[in-house]
Amino acid sequence: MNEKATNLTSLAAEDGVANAADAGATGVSTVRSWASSGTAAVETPAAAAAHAGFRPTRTMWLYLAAVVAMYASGVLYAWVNGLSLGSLFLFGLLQPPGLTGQEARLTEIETPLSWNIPQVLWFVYIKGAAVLVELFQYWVIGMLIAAALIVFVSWEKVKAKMGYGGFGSNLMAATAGAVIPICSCGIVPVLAGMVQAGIPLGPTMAFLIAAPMLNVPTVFMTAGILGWPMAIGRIVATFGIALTVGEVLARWQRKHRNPRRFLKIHIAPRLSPQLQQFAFRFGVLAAKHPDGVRPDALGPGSEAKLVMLEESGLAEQTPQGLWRLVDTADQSTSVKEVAGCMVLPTGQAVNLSLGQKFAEMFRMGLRLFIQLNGYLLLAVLIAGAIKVLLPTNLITQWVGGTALNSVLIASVVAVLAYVCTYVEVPTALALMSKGMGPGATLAYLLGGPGLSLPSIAMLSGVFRARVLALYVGVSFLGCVIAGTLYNWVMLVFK
Amino acid sequence: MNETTNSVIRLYYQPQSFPCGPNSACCGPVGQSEEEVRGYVSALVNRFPGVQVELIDVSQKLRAGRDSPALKILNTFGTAACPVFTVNDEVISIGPPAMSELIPLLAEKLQVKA
Repeated sequence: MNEKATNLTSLAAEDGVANAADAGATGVSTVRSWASSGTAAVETPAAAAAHAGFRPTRTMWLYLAAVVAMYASGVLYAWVNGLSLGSLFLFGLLQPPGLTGQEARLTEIETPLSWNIPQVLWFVYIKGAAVLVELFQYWVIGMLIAAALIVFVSWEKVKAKMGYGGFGSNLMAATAGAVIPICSCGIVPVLAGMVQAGIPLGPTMAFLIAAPMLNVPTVFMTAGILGWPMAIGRIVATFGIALTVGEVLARWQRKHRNPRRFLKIHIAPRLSPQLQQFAFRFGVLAAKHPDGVRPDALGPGSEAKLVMLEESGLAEQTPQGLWRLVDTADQSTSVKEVAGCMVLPTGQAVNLSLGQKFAEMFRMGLRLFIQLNGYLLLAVLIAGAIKVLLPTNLITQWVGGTALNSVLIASVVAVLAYVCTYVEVPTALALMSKGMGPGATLAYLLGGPGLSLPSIAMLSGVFRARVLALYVGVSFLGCVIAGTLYNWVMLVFK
Repeated sequence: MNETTNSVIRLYYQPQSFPCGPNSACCGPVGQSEEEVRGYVSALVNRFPGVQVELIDVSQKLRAGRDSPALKILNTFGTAACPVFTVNDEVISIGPPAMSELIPLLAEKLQVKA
């Protein structure tokens, strides 16, 4: 629309409003005609209000119908073929009735591999359906707890208390990340939103590591399907990795205030109204004096405010002691606005009555459930494919047992494979049923959703090399250490 | 009034939007509403009738030469700096202005009486 830079007076004549006394009205009509040209449509608040509220898309309804159909077909298949319904609901296995002990956890109907593609696909589907029948209950419980945390806790207040990093803030950020269901796929906008909200990099990274690695639905799924020791191992390891990275980054940022030393992208922060006013005053002066501005030109007490602008990545000090706008080194003629919502609930429900809160909780749970069914389908289909297509001896050979190399290989596989959050538990179940060791499973559960080549590639466009190396290095080492320790603990307690 | 006719006031603005969906409050609204832009334009046209006023939408691609002074500001502060007012390529005001303060500044640059 900038190409339509408008000479109001000439347009006034074109509109047939030539009287200078009508200049005000001219301006109005000009803006209206220009806006209605279709190149700068501005949605009015009334029109926006008409669109407010959550409405499931057609795809969401389709996924929901597919989940219901798949669940029903799993139960129906077991019932029609005289298979054990108990094993189906408890372990997600299609097996004959009457099996007990270890056999009941491992035996499944034969699904021979052949070139009969429709038959193989059918087995993938039906074994996936069996996994769905088992994990569905944990999925629903997890969604309800996630909804309760969203409704009953004001995360905006939690965010406000994070302060400038440090152990307490990192712990708070990691906890917030661990309880809020955010998929690893949306990591960059969340990062941008947090930096924009003024949260330091240490807690931001602690949050970003914990969010995909851990959340309430997946903890319940892990505990229900793989057992509480695995779920506890997952929680402890996630916090260990998140707090380590957060602490190192907080220390780095205390040494180097400017976030541009850590981030490749520039995210303009939201400043307090007072600081923003000062920043704009500084901006006008700095635009006139590109070499820099003396602090005293901005009035008393400006040095401290300029330091705050430096911490926000807006100002920098020259060797001569002058202050200038940071060099964005951006020759682009597009204004880049890298920003996103931090996805933290505003805590508006805090003011509701108890009954209203519960009603809101169920509404939110239903909304989460409807929104995330696509992931559930993807997860159980991958699990079904692993069960049918991956030979057991390959799994036991590579990632079976409790040796260090099994954990190492599982960590590498987890990083190379892009396992979206919510998908890792069913796929781990399938791999475990094929013989994957417990430590290797934990490494896979941590590394799969937390670290993957696509997310590393995405973050390489955001973080500078050493931050990325810290993130990848500590996460990978954390997976290996956690897996190895878990193997050791399991051996000791058995 | 003796108005300077060759001068150009440029108003860089961002059309109002709601980043997290219609009427969401968590990240918005951001930018200037139609009414707000209309108000600025009206005030400028009333006060400086002979001066050319250009509206520049910063969500579109800007021109390297013409818009360079504002680009530096916008790339540093983001679109929170809107509206930015320039006179003949000099940045006069950043952020939502008090018109009672902005008009004398513009008048000074345009060399007309406030």
